Amino acid sequence: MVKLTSSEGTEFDVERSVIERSLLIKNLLDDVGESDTCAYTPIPLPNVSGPILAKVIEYCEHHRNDPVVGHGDADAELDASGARVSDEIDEWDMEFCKVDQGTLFEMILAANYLDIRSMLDLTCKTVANMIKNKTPEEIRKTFNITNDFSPEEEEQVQRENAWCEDR
Amino acid sequence: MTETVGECHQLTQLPEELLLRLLVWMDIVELCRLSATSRWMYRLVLESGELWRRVDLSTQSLLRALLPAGSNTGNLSAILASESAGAIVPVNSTPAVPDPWVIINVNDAAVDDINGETQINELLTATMAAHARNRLREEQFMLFFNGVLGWSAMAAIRRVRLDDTGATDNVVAVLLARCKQLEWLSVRRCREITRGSVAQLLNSYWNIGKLLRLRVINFDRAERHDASLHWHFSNRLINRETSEMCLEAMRGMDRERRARRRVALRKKLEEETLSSCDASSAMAKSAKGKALGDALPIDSPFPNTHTSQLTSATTYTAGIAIDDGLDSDNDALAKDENLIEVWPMPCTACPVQLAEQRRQIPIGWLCPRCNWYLCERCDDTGRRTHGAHSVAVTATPGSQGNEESAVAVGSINILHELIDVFETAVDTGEDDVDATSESEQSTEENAAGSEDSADEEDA
Repeated sequence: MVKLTSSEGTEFDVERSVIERSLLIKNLLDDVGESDTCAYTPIPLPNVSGPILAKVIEYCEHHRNDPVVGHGDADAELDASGARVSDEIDEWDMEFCKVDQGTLFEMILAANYLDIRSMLDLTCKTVANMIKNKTPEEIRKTFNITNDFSPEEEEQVQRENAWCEDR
Repeated sequence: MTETVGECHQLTQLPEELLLRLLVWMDIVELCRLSATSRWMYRLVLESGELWRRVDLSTQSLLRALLPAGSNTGNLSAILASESAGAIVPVNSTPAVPDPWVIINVNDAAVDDINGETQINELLTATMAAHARNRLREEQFMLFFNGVLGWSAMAAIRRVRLDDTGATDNVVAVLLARCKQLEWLSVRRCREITRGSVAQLLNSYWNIGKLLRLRVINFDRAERHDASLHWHFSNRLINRETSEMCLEAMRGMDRERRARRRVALRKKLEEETLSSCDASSAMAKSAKGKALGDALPIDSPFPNTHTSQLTSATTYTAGIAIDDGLDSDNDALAKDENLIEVWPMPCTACPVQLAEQRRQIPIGWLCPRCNWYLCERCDDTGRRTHGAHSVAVTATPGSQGNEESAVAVGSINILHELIDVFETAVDTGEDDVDATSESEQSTEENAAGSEDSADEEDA
């Protein structure tokens, strides 16, 4: 077992095989070596809050038997146009990502920090899907983006993007 | 691994590194829309290179699908340098220059893979975002056509969709010139396509017979899709209400013109029949080299003559009944294969035509220069002939079968020719008064076109 401590000091006991989906922790444990120390010495994760760490552990437990995706597999899911395929999300994963935007963004940050590639991809896909079929104005509303274009600039951008409207 | 600290409640609060990671999951449309939300997003998307990556990867994926293993790779300059050569490019022979495009030769084996619209559309759709930002040039379309596809591959393409790609007049010109099998072309929302040049281009290709196979061209919402363009294609317009402009070889005219043409055709056939009964009259016309359009006014010069009174008129009448070719879409489709091409057709009345091409002449075809029917049998014997006389001799040479059916076949061939000629004469003009002069003009164009085409074919 491995003990993890969130930014608030909450401790989580996790099976080593589960949390080793995080390359950060796996490398840390590998460096420490096989000893009982890690079972009793909590690993502090000051950048991850308790609720988010709980979500991370939930994800890792569900995917404990999946092959670990490394950085070398970056282009595995490219579609014909060069974009990665963001539609194909597992049902459990989809449910897992049904959280408020703030949580979703923090999950992205945590997955990035803990170096869990598959979770990072999943959360990024989810955000990308939130942009699908939305107009710029809808995207602004969804993500609370301030339109700081001048009228001229906005007109120019609209002109540039006219081809992708009314499709 | 970058450490990220603190809470994040907004997309824009995510570190740029993660936003860039996000962009890779978006397609071009989503990227462009995201870029239109704010200055910062605009810069992020543009500087991420994702748009160009889409173009590049799309090209590569297309090529991967098309190419056998071990194909050559090259670059833009190699393709452009080969523009004049017009052949598949030996790209390895030129030095590589930095360019986002990866160009690979296409060989003939790939032709079958690209005769649909989908793959072509994939690439061009992928390029359109960049084009919308004025970063793609016309040369890059040419690059695709010449370098990626190659002439031989283009000749096999039947359907092309260039919607939203920013395709230009020249792009359309290349397509029309090289896609010999082109049946369907859509250039919706292509703002670079101008009315005048495309109209001229299409009319030109129409006249020289290259568009006989082109069934649909969609100009919806082209930048200068105005009344004039609308008028220009009105002769061949199928569906004005939806502004989908359609060109079809034999059925593109509206009802009024169809009716006019049918009447005129019938009278023309009567005249032909009568004139064929008068050999001296026919020879006199031949000697003058008068254009058929001139010799065939809509009002019959023989108002009191009924076709049934004439020996061969029955055949012609039957030909009309059999081969109206105007009312039924399916009929028109079926007739596509039977339509004559206006080039190249030698004729004894035109000494400049190449004698060695005579073997290619189907019996009863039309000479575009003198508008005179050519009878192979008579030509062999050194006689000039035309019209009904050719019917008598256009039974398949050497055929021992049913003479009547052979004659009917000949009459259908001639009817096709008449329809085509008369269509040129009547429909290229705004009214019948102009038709004759335009017919003459189109005859000249046909002749010029036939020479060009013959040259191109020879090449």
